[in-house]
Amino acid sequence: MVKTDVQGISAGDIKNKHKREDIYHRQKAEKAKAKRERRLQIKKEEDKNPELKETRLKNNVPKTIDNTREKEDTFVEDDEEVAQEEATDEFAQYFSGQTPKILITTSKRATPACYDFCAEVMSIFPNAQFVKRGEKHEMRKIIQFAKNREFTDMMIVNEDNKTPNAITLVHLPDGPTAYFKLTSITPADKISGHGRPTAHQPEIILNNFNTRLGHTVGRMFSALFPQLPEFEGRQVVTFHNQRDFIFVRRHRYVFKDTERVGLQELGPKFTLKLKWLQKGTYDRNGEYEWIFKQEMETSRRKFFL
Amino acid sequence: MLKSSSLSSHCAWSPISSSEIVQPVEKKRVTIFSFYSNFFAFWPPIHFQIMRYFTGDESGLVKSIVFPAPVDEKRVKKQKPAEENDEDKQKEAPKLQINVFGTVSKDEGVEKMAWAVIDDQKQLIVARKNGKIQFMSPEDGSIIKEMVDENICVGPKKEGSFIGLSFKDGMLFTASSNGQISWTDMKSDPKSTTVIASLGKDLTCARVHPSKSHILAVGGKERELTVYDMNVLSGKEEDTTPAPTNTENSTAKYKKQKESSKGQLFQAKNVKNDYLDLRVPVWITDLQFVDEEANRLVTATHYHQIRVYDIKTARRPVLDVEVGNKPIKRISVGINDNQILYADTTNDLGAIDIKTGKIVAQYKGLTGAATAFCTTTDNANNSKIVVSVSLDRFLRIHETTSIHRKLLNKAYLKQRLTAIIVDEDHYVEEPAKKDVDEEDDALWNNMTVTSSKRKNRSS
Repeated sequence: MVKTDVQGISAGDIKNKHKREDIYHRQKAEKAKAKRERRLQIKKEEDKNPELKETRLKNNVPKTIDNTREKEDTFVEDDEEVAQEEATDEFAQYFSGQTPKILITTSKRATPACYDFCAEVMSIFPNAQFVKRGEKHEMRKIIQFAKNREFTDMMIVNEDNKTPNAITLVHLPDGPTAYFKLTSITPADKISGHGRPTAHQPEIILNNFNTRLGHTVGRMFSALFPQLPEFEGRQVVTFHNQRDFIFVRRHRYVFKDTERVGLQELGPKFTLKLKWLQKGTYDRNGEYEWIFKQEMETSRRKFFL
Repeated sequence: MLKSSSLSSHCAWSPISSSEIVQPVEKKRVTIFSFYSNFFAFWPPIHFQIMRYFTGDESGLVKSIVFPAPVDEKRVKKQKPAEENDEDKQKEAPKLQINVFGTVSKDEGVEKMAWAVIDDQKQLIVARKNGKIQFMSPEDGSIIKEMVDENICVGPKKEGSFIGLSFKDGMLFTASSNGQISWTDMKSDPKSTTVIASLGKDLTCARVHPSKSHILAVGGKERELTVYDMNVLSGKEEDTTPAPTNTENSTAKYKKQKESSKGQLFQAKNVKNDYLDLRVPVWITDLQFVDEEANRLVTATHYHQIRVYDIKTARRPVLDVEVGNKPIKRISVGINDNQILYADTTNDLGAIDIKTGKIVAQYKGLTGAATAFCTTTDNANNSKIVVSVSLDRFLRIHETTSIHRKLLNKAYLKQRLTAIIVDEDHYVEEPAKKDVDEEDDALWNNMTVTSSKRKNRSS
């Protein structure tokens, strides 16, 4: 083949397949070569002058869905009124010293898969008790029993087709009720290199709960754990909210030196998505403070938590 | 002073006392038409009517909200670069005006709000969770008068909440959910409300007719709709309904003598048994009067039924429809006498035609249950709008003219809202339109003032 300059030619107009292929691949190779040279040049310049690299990185921040998120009116930003209201909301008792006591139960006629998940969830929360769900009592009665025995929270794991698929979290005396869709459950055994959890009280990390609704949900999660973590256990439970999905993970951390941390994953990992938040305890006919409906999904960049 | 009819043909102002003028949205004072300042001593400010909304919430705060007037579309100037335009627009974007009255306190949550006209002054009545009734000034939230309804929040379990509040002709009407109806004469400046009747427990709503304020309707859980005449209940008038003439076979004579039916104008009868021949349970969650003569009433039930009663025609409802499958919590009068707005426990807010019983509108955009809503007229274009306030902490305004029922405006109010009331007679000083002024200002300032107007014709 005669080596000609292939820059100005449009490979798509050539009818001869061999020629067309040849021209196209050569054009592609030339483009890649030019790009490589350009990048090499930039690297040389930046090795000499690191400031250039900083300015380049600063100017070329890629747009992601997370950083082009639609601004919500309900973002909480250092607002005194919101802070005052939060100080007197349903979780105020917890934040002034009440120890949490959690009751875990399932929907009716649960299968072993559900019980396995409940056993793992029990290990996450210190001070949690499991009660098998019976046929006799309806939810309203069960909530009354829990209140009488001074439980602070109740978690109902719902099951469908032999897999747990939802969690209803009821904060007792008369707190809000949140219903989460439960997905991507991985039990501890299936995590390679997992560690064994101990009974120490973990630290909590709540990431990215920005809006007022997010604050309520975040406070609900933090009210499930005792206020003072035991640092010698080096355990941490993370509730990471990203795009309205809450990722729940459990780790044991170790500081290798002042800058590096090693993490070993413990316990189950699962994902939650808030479906609705009801004011008051769980009531089929109670009023909803927030309910997710398909019509609310107006844009890819709109999130509620 | 010259009458500048060509310049000011659109402005119509009326004498306003200084206490009614609210601070204009933009605080900058712009010098107007320096050329014309030769002729005018001052340029009179333009007043126009704008809606003001008062909301009450669970934390006891009362907020007044004024939405900015919609900004007119500016013609894009070719000379100015695009960035400058955006900056100007950002600076001039009119802000939502929110005034907060009160401090955060969950015990003083607002349950009901109403207007009162006392001595030609419009006052706002706020009924709170702990039984306090406050008369506030709508301008600055100062409490003019405070009273207590002793039947609210009674006992260790704090039973009793406000289910009705209204004020007309110097009489304050309040009702509590444990059945105590109070009709207080405000002339004597009382500290607590005077109870005129005790109608039993489990009431969920009590309303008086907007113009005939002695007619009261109540309903509750297993309490059928009953209409009373408060003049008779309070003893002001004697029972004027004639005694039944034929007393041989009817028990009406004995019924009339019963204490509980004293003052009753109408007692509804439950609908017929359902298709399984079972009694249909009764649980009225909200009711409204829908006509001037107090003959028609609409009730909404916990079993998602909407019923229309005609007092003069029949004891059973004239119309009985099922709407959705969630309990209907509140209803309100719609854009005309034939429509009512309803809201259930989820985020549905809709309108029903009570002649046909069909849903005619859905107001979308709510994410939580609507707790209070009403229709009012938007003065700017004389159209009806629906104002709603919900548990998701937003105040929303929907238009009703087009089929889209678009969300015109919403305001984030940070608290779970429980009550809304509209101030339609609110006047605001319009800030003079600045864009045109600034340009023309520069134009006029740059021009040199000539001594003679006529061009010198002579060479």
